[in-house]
Order: sequence, then structure tokens, then C-alpha cells
Amino acid sequence: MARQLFNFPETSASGGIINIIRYKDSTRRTISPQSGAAGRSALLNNFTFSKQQGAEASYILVTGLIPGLGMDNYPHIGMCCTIDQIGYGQTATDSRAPDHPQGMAGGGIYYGGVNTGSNNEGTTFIIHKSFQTFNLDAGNHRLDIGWNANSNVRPLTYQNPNGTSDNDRHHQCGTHILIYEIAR
Amino acid sequence: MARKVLYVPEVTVQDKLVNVTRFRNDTRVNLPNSGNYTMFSGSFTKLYDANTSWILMEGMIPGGKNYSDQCGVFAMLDGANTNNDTPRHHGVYYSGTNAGQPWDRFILYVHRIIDNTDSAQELNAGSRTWSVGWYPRNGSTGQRPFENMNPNSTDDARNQQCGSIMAIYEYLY
Repeated sequence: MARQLFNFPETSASGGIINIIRYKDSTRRTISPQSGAAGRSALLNNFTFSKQQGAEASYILVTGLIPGLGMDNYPHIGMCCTIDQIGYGQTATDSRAPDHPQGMAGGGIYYGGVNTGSNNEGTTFIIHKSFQTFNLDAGNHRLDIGWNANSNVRPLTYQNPNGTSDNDRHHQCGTHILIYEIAR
Repeated sequence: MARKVLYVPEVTVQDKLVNVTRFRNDTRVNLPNSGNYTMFSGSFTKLYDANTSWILMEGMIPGGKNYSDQCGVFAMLDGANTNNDTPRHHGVYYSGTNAGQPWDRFILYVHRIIDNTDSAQELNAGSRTWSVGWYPRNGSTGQRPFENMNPNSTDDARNQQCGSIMAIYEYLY
């Protein structure tokens, strides 16, 4: 009764990590140059996950590693990591990201490597992005990782390189990403 | 009744985190040319069996001076499948510059998820060891990701002593 009088939720997180969704991808693929919001899902496309609790009870943190080869363009091309296509920035009026505020998709992901298109040179993407300021309800959501630039560019040539198509010292490499649901 | 008076919720969600074991290595090492080498390792205790919990290896190793553009880096627990093109080569990668001056810097980053898509032996409960190193797929013996790990002022007087870290997270499914 007291719980109901004071609007205490019937289910609550005890603190800590409520759930973790694991994403693995070890398929080598060629990454095409993209301009504007068309590049938003080039590295992770519409990965659907379920959030167990409401916006008031939990938030999302995404961490991960993406291996690549050949940094094809100059490093700053507007990397983004976002949920439900919120805030793509540069071309926010793109029909695939209508009316969203600019900028929120950026940050929390960065990459480094040799500034060359050579297929021998590695490019490492590190993801560590908190969505604590996003209001995400319980239910299904989508995660997308890519970029949004004002020209036709790409930050790498190949994702998940291997020893068959690339240099034979490689084993098959793989992308590993975690989606944490954390109690507020 | 007491639960309701004291506002304890009827259901709480169990934290998925079981345990974290942390490691550091602050020793500068001139890495050898090798066809199979472990550059950073440690031991920990996994509390639950392979069906109950999974592992995240998360850490980084700073390096200096380029050498091999790629060399088959791995991150693994004992019991992993060590054949070519196996999961121990996923979730681990390095990159840096394309030059061998003392100020040319590298990051080897580890974010490997070890779960029920990997070998069950890699997730057994008990005393376990983890390792990070390299093993070129083509069998070449003259490889290394960079010339030294954990660079310091020996390499460049502006450096402080750099260090490697690793955290082994055990999570419930």
C-alpha cells in the first residue's frame, strides 16, 4: 500500500548493470564512401536491441572495438554512434533522420591509424559512448554506427580484415560491441 | 507487510556484474621478433561455469616505433581455440603511425567478448589465465606489432613511464 501511495515502482533496478547485449561481427566487408547521413550505418547497420526498463530507471552505454584497414580520408569526417537515429548533425534534414537535433550522434567514437589508403595499414575504432542524456523508453531500439560528413568519404577501406583477402599475416579479425543497460 | 511499509520494491533486478580483476604492467619491454609471443598476461579466478557467465577482456597496451603492419594479434583465456582464424583474434587490434621514430606511438586495444559462441573450455570456472600477444597467420617468425611496449623517457625524454592495463569482467548471462 505504502509503495502504491508513494508511486514506488513495482519493479526496480537494484543498481548496477541491468542487462548487456553482445554484438559480434567477423565478416570482412568493403566500405564505400558515403556523404551525409547515408554513412550513418556503414559500420553497424540497424542493430535492434530491447531495453528492459523505462527512461527514468535506466540508460544505455555502448562500448566496443572495430578493426579496419586503410584510412582512406583525412581523419575528421564526423563519426557518429547513435540510437534511434537521433541527432545526425551535418545533414539533419536528410529524410532518414528527419527533424532530429544536430550533434547528439557525434562523440563517443574515434579512430586512429596511418593516413593512407594502403591496405596494409590498420585503423582502430574505439567506442565508449554514454546515452545517459537520451530518454529511451523500454522496448526495441536500434543502434547505428558510421559517419556523417559533408562530402563523399570513408574512414577506412575494409572492416574486419582477414588473411585471405588482405595481408596473409592477418587472421580473420572481428568487431565486438556491448550495449549496457545501467540503472540510473 | 514490512516490505511494503519500508518501500522495498517487490522485484529487483540482479546486477549482471559478478567480478572484476584488474591488472597493470608498467615495465618497458623491447619486444622480440617472433612467430608466437605473449606480451601481457595474468591469472584470475572465474566464479561460474561456462553456462552461467561470460567474460569481457578490456584493456590497452601502449607501444612505440612501427614494425609489422599486422601480425595476428590475439587476446584469449587458456583453453581457447588456437587454430588460424579463430575468435581469439577478434575484439583485439592495434594501429599507429607508419614510422619508426621514438615518438611514433601505437595503441593495442582489447575489447574481446568471450561467450557461448566461443569454446566452452575458455569459460570454465576456476583458476584461469589470460594472455595478449601475436601469432601471424602465415607462420612468419619475424613479426611484432611495434618495437617496444610501455615506452618511457628512454625513448623520448618527454615521455613519462607509460603502462598497460587489463580488466577481466565476469558477467552473468
